[in-house]
Amino acid sequence: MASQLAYKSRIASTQSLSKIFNAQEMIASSHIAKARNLALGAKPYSDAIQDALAALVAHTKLDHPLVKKKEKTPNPHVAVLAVTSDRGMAGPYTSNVLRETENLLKRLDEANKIPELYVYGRRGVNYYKYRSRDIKATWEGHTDEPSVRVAEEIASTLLNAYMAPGENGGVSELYLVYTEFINMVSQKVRILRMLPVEVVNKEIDMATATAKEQAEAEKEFTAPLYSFEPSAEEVLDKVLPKYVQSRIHECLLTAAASETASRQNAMHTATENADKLLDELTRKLNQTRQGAITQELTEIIASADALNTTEE
Amino acid sequence: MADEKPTIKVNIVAADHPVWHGTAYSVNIPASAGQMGILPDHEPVLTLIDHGDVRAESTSGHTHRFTVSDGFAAFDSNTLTIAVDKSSEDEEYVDADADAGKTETTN
Repeated sequence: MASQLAYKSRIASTQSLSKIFNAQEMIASSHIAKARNLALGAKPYSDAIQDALAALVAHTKLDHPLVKKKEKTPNPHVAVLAVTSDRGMAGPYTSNVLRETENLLKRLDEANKIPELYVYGRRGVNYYKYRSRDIKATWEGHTDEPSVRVAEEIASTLLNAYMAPGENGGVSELYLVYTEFINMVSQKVRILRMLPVEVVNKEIDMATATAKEQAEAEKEFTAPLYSFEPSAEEVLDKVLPKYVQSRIHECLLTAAASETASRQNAMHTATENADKLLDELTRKLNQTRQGAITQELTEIIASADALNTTEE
Repeated sequence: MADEKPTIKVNIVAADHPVWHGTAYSVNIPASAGQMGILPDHEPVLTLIDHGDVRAESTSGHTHRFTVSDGFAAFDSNTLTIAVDKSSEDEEYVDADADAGKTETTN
């Protein structure tokens, strides 16, 4: 049995850990509302872009490199963007994304493609740096509050890579691995093929809506007969990259919300575990103390007995 | 309703937050080909916006001014959606009557 001193120091350290976990949990739960507001704030913009795009699709022939890339020879290079977190203490958040990314990379390898890695979030960057993997570009320090500027930066980097011809290091596809926020207790890692843009349709884009809502939205939406200025092609040229950027921003925002939710859950469990451990340790400390007292008593009584017998 | 002045529903959104929505009698937007005035029952139009000021004469009698850059405006069945990368409402909003005189100073 360990000494009382050892138990006391373990109890003290567990107590301070429990406090840290508890604080982290509270911080995370206060961030959730913020993350959700950010996501809601960006929604009208992405809706507007999707409506505009749907109208464009209805009235123009979608003949744009972002929709269908023309190349003389098939280009095996593809880009993969892994959306991870900057900080730890978020339970399995980052490791889930990394596992899915590894799976995707393996699948792409098997399909004779050459994946190129882009990483968002410090944890992911460290993971791949430690394994000395080639990373094309990284973004760090924004996962708590992904701003429009970061989304713009990522979108322009990836679009540049995509628009470049294969001989100059261009890529033919872009995959995004991110975590979708479903609700407080469940977040799901998703793989999204961002480029080339797939059939641009409102219902497909509403990944979060239920099937019924999607059907309703589809019925409601009929593209108006717009006249485009300066021309449909030029508008498409401008709107498509913005669409990609807004989609990327959306993914970053839902990933940020997932990260916070995941952190809150992880910290909640950690606090509970720490408290359980504290109970157990306190019980053991009491047991040892009781044992020590009993031993002392026995010793005193025994020695008193011994003294008595010698006097008789 | 019939003898009331027709209005436009205006919705201005920036990439990360909605900026303003309300009803207006007329809206001026900095379309790529030059300033474009939109009155109720304009034909459906989708136009690019480079940079400039949006001016909306709202039904409350105020003229709202927004500096916008890089986006597009879509108008259809008296609903105008302006989606831009960046947008901010200029601090003062000006009375519709005094508007003409102030245009020079604010720009």
